[in-house]
Amino acid sequence: MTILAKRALAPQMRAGEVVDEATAFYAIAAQACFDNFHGAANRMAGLLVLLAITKSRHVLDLDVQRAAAAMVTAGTEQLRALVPTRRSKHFHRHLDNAGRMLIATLDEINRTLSSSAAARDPLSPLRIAWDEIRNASKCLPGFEVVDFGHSCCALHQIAAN
Amino acid sequence: MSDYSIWMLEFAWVPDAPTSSLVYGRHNMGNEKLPYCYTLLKGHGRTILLDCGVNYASHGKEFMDRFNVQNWFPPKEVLAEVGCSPDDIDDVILTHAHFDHMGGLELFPNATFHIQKDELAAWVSIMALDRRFRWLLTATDTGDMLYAVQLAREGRMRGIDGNVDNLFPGIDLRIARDTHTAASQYVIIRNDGKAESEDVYTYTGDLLYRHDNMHGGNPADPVYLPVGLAFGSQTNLVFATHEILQSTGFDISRILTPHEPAMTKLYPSRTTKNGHYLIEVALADGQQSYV
Repeated sequence: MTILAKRALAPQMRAGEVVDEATAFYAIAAQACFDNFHGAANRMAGLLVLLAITKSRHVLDLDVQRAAAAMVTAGTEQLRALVPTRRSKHFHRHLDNAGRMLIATLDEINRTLSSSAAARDPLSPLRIAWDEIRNASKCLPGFEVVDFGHSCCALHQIAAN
Repeated sequence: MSDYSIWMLEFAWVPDAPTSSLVYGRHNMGNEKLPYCYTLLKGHGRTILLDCGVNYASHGKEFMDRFNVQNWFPPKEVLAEVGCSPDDIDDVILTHAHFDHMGGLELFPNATFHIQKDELAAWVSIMALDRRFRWLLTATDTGDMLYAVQLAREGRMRGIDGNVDNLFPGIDLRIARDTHTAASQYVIIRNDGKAESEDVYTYTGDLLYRHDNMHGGNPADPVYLPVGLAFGSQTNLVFATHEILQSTGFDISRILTPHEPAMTKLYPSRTTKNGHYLIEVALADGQQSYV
């Protein structure tokens, strides 16, 4: 494995796991896609929380929705450019499923906004997308679904490291 | 006579929190124990929890393992020390949307949760920002949010609009905007039920961590020193500190600070079998003592 690949994976490597070089490069390339899908899911979940609490569709008409859509678009393009290895095939499949379900979630949010009679609950595809993202994170080292790296309780740990 | 029994219940701790994170400006002064605690109110036929801790499962477990949060016990065991169970909790007032205060949503199956609407709205607004602002979203978990959607749809997650008097009899909420978080709230308990109460307790959440935040280490000549971590304005935190103190007539002993170990010295308390402190702040009429 190259130094670059080692650096990219080292902090989150599972104990004793060795990843071949092609998979390491795949993992580095896939990080942006994973982050975009994860970020989009997070944003759409946030919107649905607000929607449920305020009980007003107007909260969906926010910059957050546009940010989520941009992340799904970027992530989908990044996914198309990825070539999975045998080791990363399982991860890739989950990521692909997540992308499709996020697109479905966005569609349902848009239909809800336009008061379409065909609008369905965006929460269902979002839940599936989230499960796919979580499953993907378990398939390869280096993909985390919660970033604790800069949280308040982490400050002393960062200093210690 | 007290309307509510009040217990402060430790459920975990960090043994080595840096002093600088607790009191602003105290850099290079070592580490201190940081207790994690929620507060239980029982009275007027209701059982109310102030903040709900964190769940040692999934990412919560990862978080606590990584950041040295020790000796966590589930609410089933913690609440049993005062004769309660998680099923008994009717309401949870969430002071703010941080992990150690609202990470336990799933642990209270019958509770309705109350949080400032703007606390959630501000957090969602931040999500529209560029990736370089991601520190502001640190440690948010999509799974928690999806659960919150479900709770809200079931009518079990309620958004509060600013200050509220008598959310429950004698219990008022006060918003502290742009302080520790975008819309933290603190809880005033008028324990005699009177509008001009002579028996007030105020629960601070993370607007104050320590008594030193209220007097700077010198009660004879007090100076307000804000907490070491604020996503909002330190100036606003100082003014919120003043308002909190005003609410109890500047009686620090009546200000319930969940991260302050010295609370054990102000009220009857004991150490539980799990090594946590249990503080009995007040007992309602006919309520059995647990210390």
